[in-house]
Amino acid sequence: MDEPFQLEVACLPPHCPVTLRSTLCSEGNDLWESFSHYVSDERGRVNVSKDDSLGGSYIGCEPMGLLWSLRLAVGGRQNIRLRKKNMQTPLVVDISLFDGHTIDNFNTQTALAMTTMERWYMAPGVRRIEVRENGVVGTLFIPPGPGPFPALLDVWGLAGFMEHRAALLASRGYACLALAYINHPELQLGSGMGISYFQESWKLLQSVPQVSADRLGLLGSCFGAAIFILMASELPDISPQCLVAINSPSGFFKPGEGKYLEKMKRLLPEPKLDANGHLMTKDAILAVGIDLERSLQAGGIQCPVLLIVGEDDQCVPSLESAQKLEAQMRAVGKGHLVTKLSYPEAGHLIEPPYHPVMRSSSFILPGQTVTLLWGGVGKPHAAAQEDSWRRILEFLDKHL
Amino acid sequence: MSFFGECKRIYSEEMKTRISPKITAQPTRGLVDEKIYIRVSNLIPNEKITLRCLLLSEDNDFWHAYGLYISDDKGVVNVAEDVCLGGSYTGTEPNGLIWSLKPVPGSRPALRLRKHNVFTPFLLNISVHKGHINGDFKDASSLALTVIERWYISPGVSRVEISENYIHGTLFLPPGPGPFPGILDLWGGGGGLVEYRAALLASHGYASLALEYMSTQNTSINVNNIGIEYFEAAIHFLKSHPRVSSEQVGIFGLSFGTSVALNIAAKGNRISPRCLVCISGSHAVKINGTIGDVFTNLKEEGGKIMVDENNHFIWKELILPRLADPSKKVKVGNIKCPLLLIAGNDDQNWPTVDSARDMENMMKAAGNEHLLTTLIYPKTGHLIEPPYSPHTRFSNFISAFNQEKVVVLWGGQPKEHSFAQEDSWEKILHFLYHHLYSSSIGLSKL
Repeated sequence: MDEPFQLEVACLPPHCPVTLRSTLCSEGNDLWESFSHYVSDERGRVNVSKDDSLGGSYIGCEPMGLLWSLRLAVGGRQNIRLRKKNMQTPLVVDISLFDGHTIDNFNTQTALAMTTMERWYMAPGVRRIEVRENGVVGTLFIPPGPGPFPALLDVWGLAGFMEHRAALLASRGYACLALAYINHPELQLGSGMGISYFQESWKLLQSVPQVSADRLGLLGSCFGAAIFILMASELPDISPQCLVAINSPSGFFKPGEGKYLEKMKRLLPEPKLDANGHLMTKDAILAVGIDLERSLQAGGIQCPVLLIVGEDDQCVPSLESAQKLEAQMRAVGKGHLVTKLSYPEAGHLIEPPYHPVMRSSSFILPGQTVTLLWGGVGKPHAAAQEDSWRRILEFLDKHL
Repeated sequence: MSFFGECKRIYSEEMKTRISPKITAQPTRGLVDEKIYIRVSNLIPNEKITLRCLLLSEDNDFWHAYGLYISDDKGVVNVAEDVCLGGSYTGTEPNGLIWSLKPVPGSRPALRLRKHNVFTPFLLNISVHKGHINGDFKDASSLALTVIERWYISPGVSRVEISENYIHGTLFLPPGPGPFPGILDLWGGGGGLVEYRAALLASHGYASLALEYMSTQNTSINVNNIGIEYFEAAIHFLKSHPRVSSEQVGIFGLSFGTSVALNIAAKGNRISPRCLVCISGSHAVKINGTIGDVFTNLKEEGGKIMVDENNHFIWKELILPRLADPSKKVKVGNIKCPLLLIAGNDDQNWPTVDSARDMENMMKAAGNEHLLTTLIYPKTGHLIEPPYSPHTRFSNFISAFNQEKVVVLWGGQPKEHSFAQEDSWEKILHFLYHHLYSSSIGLSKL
């Protein structure tokens, strides 16, 4: 899934305008599509890795544009994130070629040609093991081979449990435990597990035979990252070799004893709505930060930290949090451990590369479904996903 | 019982703290003809290691290949660039771990690796072992392991079983509306329905029909009832298929299939192929009546059947005497389409090199030699398959014609034969593209 592809069209007439269209049918049966306009060269060829798109879902030279610019097709459900639940099957993307520069009604036209591409989260040989042990709920992905492997705990934000990044990391050589801690039917506290749960998960990962117990790291997004930062900073028995935090609201939240959704509802002032009626929670979280007791002290972290920030994050004050965390660590002489990667115009949902970019989507809160504004603008956000992933893998390789 | 209880292993303290070697192989999932890139890192500098590739065939035999390497100063082995010091191949051989696959010691004899189900991949386990191991991996535990998949079919290609108008075979169609150029894919005297090459050709954009013309199971395809019209019907089927471009249909043959292709092309009637790929075959096989007659006649020329020191059959001299008799040879001077002729000069099964030379002479005399391209490869045997099929110098053979079970000598040496497969396939794809795609506008290819 994180590998780039090459796409070439041949045997066209020279200087012929064509449209390339990619479509994907998600597990939820939604149709995603993207299209772009090209003109063949004097040899009748189009090379997506080198040529410029003249219009459509993306413009300019974008080798992977047909993936990250995928959007839900008009006429179907809207505002839903692309989520793959079954890691053992691929995402199947169909790419078709049409004559001329078309923008819609593709179904009424005959394609000139077509090809199919498979995108996988799990490499051959990676093992997927469901974990239900000592109350810990998650999925462990182990690379093929005897090991022992460096390992990672992987968590997401309040959206809940997702396996795809852990599967990818295992495909890159890390034993990775995707951990559920909120909104999961098998968890004791649906609104969020407390710190002791995470401690238990850490111990569990260490005890896996194929894991090299002294080469463990923490990788988290959003709220999950905030919890990891707390763990690394304040719990002496949790000593990761490194920590990656993506768009964490860490400067403003003390995760505490669980039940996060309930607490958030109590503590946060009413978030603002943007012009489209989408919820922007960032300022509400910023407002909470004024109360120092509630904010997270990161000075206790002993390991290298990689902070990934989308500057256009409208969900959490990611940039402010990162700055705060850096300052806290500098104050105790550990500023050299922090690497901050800040991406202008990137939003909250920094996913692995080539994931479709979504500026907002629906989100299920207890009692209601809202549309959350994540932020982020197409091309820069896609570039941020690609670059941050490369940097994450380099960082993990170096420290684990 | 918890999963931890199930997979408990004992690790020494030292093993747990050492950074384990890491092996990466690309592509993790690819077509069988794609090159592989294997890299091992996190080794000790200048460390002796052995790389091993292990595969379990559909017939339940283990095949393996291995190479001895020494890591560089950074503890890295890069198979595409480094020199292999021994094993099942030597030298700088990026794809050696695949093409030098052989049955593991103790296997049944005279095996050939072939894929029956094209919808599952070959799973290759590629492992790194400490030290230089010479072939016996029974007690060798690996330092690291990765798995790659090798496919004969790419995503989107569809498989259609054909048994209508008395032709019997499997059609593979590339994804998309088409129309596509078509290929009639013909194998040799082993008979049966062999699909993998047609599936691979479809993965390269050609609607390909793997045709069965000799069967021991399917009595409707009885060689005593089939003549050249059967193959012409197959071509007609392809030409009139809604997703095939009727002006762009060629024939791809190996061994006896090559003879069929030459017979059809020389006939010069409505069924005229656009181009021919002819591997390891001969024009000295004229099809006048049924295929059954042709096979019966093969032995009646006074040509020699020989065996080597292992009692493996050498059939290459069987039809050699025919080359001197014009009435026994296809009139290749009548061929009107481009012809790519491929042969190995260590072919022990058919007299392919002598036939190739003779064909050249005949076509020169007739004035159509500009249509002919000949590729003759040294130390290469009869079974010139798509890359990176393991080279088979001899194997069990059951003739579909008379069910004789023998061991046949095909010929060739692993390194040169594997090079021939890789090189000829590249040239075949170029040839097919040039004559079936780029010579006409209106067929778009993604």
